[in-house]
Amino acid sequence: MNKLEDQQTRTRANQMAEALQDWLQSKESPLQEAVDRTLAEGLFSRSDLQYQLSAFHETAKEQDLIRWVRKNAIRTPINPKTILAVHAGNLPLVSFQDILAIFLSGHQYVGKLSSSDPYLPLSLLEVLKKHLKNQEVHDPPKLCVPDQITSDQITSNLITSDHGTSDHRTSDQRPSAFFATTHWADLYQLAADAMIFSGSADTVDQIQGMLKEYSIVRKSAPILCRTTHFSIVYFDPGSSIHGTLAYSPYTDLAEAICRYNGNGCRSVGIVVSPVGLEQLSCELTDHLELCLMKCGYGGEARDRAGIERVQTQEQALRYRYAYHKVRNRTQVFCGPVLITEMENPTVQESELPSVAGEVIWVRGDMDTLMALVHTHRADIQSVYINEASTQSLPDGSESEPLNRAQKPPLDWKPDGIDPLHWIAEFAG
Amino acid sequence: MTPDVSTLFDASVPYAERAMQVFEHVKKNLPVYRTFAASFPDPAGDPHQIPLIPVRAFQDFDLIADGIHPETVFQSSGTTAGLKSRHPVADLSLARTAVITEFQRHFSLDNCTILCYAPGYADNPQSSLLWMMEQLIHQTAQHGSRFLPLGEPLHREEWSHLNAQGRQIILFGAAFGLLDLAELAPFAMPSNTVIIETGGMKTYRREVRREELHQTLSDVFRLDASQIWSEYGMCEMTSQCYAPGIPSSLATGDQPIQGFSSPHWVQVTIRDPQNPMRICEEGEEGKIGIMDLANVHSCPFFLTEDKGVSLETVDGEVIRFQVLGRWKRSQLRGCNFLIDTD
Repeated sequence: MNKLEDQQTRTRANQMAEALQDWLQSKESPLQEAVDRTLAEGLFSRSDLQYQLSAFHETAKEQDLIRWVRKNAIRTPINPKTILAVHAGNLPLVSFQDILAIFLSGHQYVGKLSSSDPYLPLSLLEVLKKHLKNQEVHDPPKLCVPDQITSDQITSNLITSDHGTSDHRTSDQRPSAFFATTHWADLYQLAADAMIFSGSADTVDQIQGMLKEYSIVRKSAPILCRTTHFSIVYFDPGSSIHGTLAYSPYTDLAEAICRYNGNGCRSVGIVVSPVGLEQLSCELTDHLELCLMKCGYGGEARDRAGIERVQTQEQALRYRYAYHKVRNRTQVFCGPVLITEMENPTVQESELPSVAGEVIWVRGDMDTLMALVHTHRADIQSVYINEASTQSLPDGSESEPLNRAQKPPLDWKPDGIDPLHWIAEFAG
Repeated sequence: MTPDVSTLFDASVPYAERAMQVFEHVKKNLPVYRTFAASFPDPAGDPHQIPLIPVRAFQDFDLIADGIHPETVFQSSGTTAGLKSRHPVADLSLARTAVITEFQRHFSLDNCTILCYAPGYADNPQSSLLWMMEQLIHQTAQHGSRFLPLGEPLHREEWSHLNAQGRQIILFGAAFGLLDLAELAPFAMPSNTVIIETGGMKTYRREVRREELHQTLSDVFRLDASQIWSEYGMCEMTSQCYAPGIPSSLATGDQPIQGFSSPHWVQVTIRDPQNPMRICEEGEEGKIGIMDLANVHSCPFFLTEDKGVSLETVDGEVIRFQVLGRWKRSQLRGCNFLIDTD
């Protein structure tokens, strides 16, 4: 249902679109410094950063923001709520959609940043702050300094949208709607009205203590928790939406598997194909290698932490490779990617991919795919098909084209829920 | 290289030396393990670098050295997926030595009566737990050791009688069985009685935490909490690890944690579940890795699906560890490991 947004929302969307353009393209944008620091600290490869930023550029234009707002009938709230977004750090700016959803909705954003990716969100917040400066700010959250944490500790840990400077906050001062920090302690007594994060039910338990101890979130606050682990694809090498010699369907598959070293829930973890892995292994290996080269794997100077991360992933996969070899399974092992064909199309829970870059290959047809989706729905983020048309899935959702695996539209639904819709529902 | 079995239980021979000898033997004689180990660098004399095969191998293969016929095959009670582990045991006398030697490190067989309560095992005569209990009972049969009849309450008089003879009573049982006994006949046991629970916290009625179980047993049988021990073993392991109870006097706000220690021929390590070749730091949760040299003719080097944490480490060796239940697959992959909790 499309409804016209109110004037304030429209203005906000326009300002945000300008902000995004400014952030991505302006020479004065703090983004460049954020990228430099991210690269200097080896948090992500240059290729992955460029890829993600180009995806934002493609998918977050003014018309995309307006369409998203209208789809969810967003109206400016009379009493804005404080929404805490807890960022993961597995991909560059993985919480991009959440940040935009909170600001678009007209509510107050507070961010718990990941130490694996602090600079990119801060640079975005800085630009948003500049462009949304005329926006009325309603009752921002009041934080208090707990007795056991000195204000020195807080200020030295605090990261604000004033990039690179400390915000000397006292208990009487209030952070703005652009408040973001890498430390839970800085969120003491935030009492957020809602929280969005990606993790697992176990993670909720893990952080529950902190939320309670520091009164970070209200007791009754709704929490949007995303728990899926990987995505699945039906891959028929004979079917391609491109169909040119220069571009084979393997290119999309390799990208969906290799990008970000297979981290992230949109990365493919299960391939269902009418063709066995052995038959395709040569061509697939070539495309994986090409894609990994394109992703900067192995060819880029990264810091020790970055190298260690990749080495750890390779070792984790080697362990799995060793046991699959004992089971005499067909495998393709290519750096940070391991693809293994299973004997049985009904994959057991214990056989599901559990490490980034681990991919299970299952020989089967569309019915096999549907059965796997039905059985493992709680683990599966997206269902891709390498065809132009989409398919209806057993749970009423739809498949997505494989070539959009790592470039989702702004209004995609992580775990089946559009965050903007969720905010509109809970906050009115 | 055939390992000298007599040195397996010889603590004067450094563990690394014994482990490497067994590693070479297993690599040579167990093709499944040889194929697995071939994907890793040579351990070069360091037992920590010996690759641990997933415990699932005991379901997928018959893990016994080439040319050896098992005297028996232990079998697990099965998993939710209906798969059972099989552990072929080539030398029961060696297994018996492992069971008795470690038990004697903690208790004196000369002076104890062992009572075992094992409901739920009637449909699994191949249970390694039942066999272990049988061995201990056999050693002390002259003291009245036996399996307790199922569904019957404990008799206070028997306890008093044995106590009057100066015997220490050791009551062995799975968690749910012990809870049943507690309900059937609560009474004050002699203070030197030891109860050893062997796990099985998920009962047919409810799931109970180990601390809760110990407290219940301590309350019902009026025993100091130090008398409630735990045993850690499994079908795939020939040996057992024991954890003494925590004295009630220490059970205050900062309650010390009950920790298991392993026999000197078993090395327990806590492994990174994502990359099991990495050993976790003290205090870091991971999967429990086992190197049980008494498995010399099957597979001594394997990675369990149990979650554990090292409580005390000296020179890289785990001295005490805690068992935290089963590792959940949902704890892997995705964003959950990437949210800072600092």
